[in-house]
Amino acid sequence: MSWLDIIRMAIHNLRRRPFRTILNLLGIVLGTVMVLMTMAGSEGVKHALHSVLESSDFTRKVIARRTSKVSEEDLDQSRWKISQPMSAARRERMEESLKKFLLEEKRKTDGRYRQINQETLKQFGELHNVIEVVPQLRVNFKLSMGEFDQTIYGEGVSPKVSGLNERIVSGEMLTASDRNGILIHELMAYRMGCVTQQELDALVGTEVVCSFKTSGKPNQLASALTAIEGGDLQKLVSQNPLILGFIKQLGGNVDNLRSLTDEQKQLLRKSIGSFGESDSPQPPVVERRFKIKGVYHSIAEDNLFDLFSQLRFDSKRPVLFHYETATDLQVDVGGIKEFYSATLHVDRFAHVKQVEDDLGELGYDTFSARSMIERIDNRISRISRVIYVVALIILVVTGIAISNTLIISVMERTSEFGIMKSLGARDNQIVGLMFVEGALLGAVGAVLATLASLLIGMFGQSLVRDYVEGRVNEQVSGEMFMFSPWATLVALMVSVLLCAVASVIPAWRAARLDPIVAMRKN
Amino acid sequence: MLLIVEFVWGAYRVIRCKKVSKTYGSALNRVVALDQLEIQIDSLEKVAIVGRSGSGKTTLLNLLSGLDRPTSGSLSVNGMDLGQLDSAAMADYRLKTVGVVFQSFQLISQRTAAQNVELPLIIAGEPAEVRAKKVSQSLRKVGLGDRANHFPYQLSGGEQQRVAIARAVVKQPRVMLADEPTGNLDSKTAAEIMQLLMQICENEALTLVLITHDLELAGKYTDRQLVMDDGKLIETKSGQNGTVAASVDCP
Ligand SMILES: Nc1ncnc2c1ncn2[C@@H]1O[C@H](COP(=O)(O)OP(=O)(O)OP(=O)(O)O)[C@@H](O)[C@H]1O
Ligand SMILES: [Mg+2]
Repeated sequence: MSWLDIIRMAIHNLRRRPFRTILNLLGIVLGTVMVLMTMAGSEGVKHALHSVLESSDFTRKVIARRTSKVSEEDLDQSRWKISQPMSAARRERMEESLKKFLLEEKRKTDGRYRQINQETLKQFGELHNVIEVVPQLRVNFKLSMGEFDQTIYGEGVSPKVSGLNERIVSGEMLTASDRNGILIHELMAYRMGCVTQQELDALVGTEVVCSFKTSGKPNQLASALTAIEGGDLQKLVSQNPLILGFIKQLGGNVDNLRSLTDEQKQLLRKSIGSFGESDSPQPPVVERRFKIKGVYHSIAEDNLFDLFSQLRFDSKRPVLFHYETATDLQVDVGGIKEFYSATLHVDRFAHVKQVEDDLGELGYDTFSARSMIERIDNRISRISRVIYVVALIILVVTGIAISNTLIISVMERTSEFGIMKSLGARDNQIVGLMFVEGALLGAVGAVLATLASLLIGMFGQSLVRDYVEGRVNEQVSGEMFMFSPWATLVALMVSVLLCAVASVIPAWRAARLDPIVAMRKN
Repeated sequence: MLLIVEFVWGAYRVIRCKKVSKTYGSALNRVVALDQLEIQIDSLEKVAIVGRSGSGKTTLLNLLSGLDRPTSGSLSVNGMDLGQLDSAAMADYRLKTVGVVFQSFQLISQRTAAQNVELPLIIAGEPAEVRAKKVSQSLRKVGLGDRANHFPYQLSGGEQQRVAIARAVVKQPRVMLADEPTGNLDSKTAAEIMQLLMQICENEALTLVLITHDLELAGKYTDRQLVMDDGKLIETKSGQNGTVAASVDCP
């Protein structure tokens, strides 16, 4: 009995019992479609979300923070082990807190504390795949234009990578060389009295005055004093008007300055005396003139990118400068040379991890949307795992059902097998025939399931897309169901194998029938 | 030398039963269907086995057709000791050496006449072209050349039995075994089938072992009639048109 004949006979047998065959097929198709759609759907949605996320600037940003990672040698356990008797849970909590505290202390004291200044910004810029580095700034100033006059915060942006281009309501984006232009938030513009679009358009090009209140800090004073060590405060003040403003604010309370040594305090007291109350200048204010280049809006609420609120501009920082201008203002006018954090713009999302690793090696803490995206991926695969289990159960139940109908079919075909055996068929030929019938059923079911899945994918596409778009509030492109050829092949193999295995037991029963008894049923 | 004698003898004596016994069931409900049976049948002989119901005729035929094995004794057909064959060899024996025709035809209802006849050839693994040729030849021999594509339910009883004969003969066996092949047919059709069977055995040079209730038919068509009772051979009638002993009553 050749395999071709066995297959031909199996086909014949399946075709002569159409109802049973169709019922079995239905079960197989249902199970396999479930598996295929789950695989394709989770893959497709994952890809779609990725393409949405990766197309946005948020996901290509890495924020570097001024803290240091703790190296292995810092982890000297003996330092935070608690030996006194207490409950295990409490000991764990205590040791954890103690460890945190000690490590923090160590960081600060042993010089491994990483700060971000203009030097390090340059270093960040030299990392692989980093397009631009924008320090995080908060510049406090008074903005006046005609009657309008308000104290607000400003922020530095990079025209190259801000992602603001699509959010310009009026006017235009800052250009790379534009150091004198600013962007203002539409709420700010509204407060300034610009309601209609014409009024907004008219606002563009207007000049505004930003008055930066200068301020100093005790430690800066200390370092300044140390720098001139017993020197001339007059000269220092003439170089830096901020110091004077600070001294004026201080009044006579030199004793409160705990960061100064007694000698420095002495020096300060002496010096203050030399500035007369009357001839002391007003706290200095630096005025700069800027031109409004454009008005921008924040991203609509309830957006996927809300997840990355750390990475966006909004009405809390209503004025945006070119980040280099803002850096100058912060350093020169504010006298602040350190930045809390810096945003590194990476060329592609795929490189974000590597940039984060590089920063980690340099000793910085990082934050990016990557962990968020990984969490989304995890959730998708967790959900699909549940669906897989359900689909597998369906397939197994189908397998049992197929086994069952095949047993019934063996019973109703008892005489047929008896006849075949009386004509000289061997046991293994009968097993082979039943096995091929099962496998064929599985194969046909699998092919039908694939076609059905592709069809469902085609028609279900827009449904799923609408759902996903509704959820993330973004245009989603690409296929919602992605049928990977390998995964599809595996699913089909499983279906065929399952059916073949399901037919083994009935096949075995069929083969072992006594032909005399079997034929008596005819 | 002995081997050659054995070989020639074996070719001549196609069927040899030596003290063949067959018992069914266990100690409590033991049935002795065949009791130390001794039968020898020569090549090309046409033998009828008669006997009353329950005398063990079908049991004997099942042993001869390789569907069952004797409890004791030796049974050899065409030089093969059936007691010694393993199940694969037994299947081969059924496939190649014997063709069996049953009272109830035993056609597969899901297959057409031609497909039924083709079945043993498929099992034997013959190529499709050869099969097609043999099947149509075979069907023509039984006079059903034009009913090849009909299913069993579309055929009369006599026609169905013809298909069964075609199926037995298509294998080109050495021995034709028939268990009351006319049992389900009216007397006119029975005579037709009997004639066909004889003609085919003659043309194809087959040894025939026929079980029948119809003493007249048996006497009319066969060379020898073996009368069985209670699992034993009680009488042998030789020659065509021989009459069976009156002591044997058949239903
Ligand atoms: N499978 C079996 N189990 C138990 N007893 C059996 C079995 N097959 C046959 N027998 C018994 O063996 C004896 C011989 O039966 P067998 O079928 O050979 O008779 P037969 O001569 O063919 O009868 P009939 O003319 O009615 O067909 C009978 O007593 C029968 O009851
Ligand atoms: Mg009988």
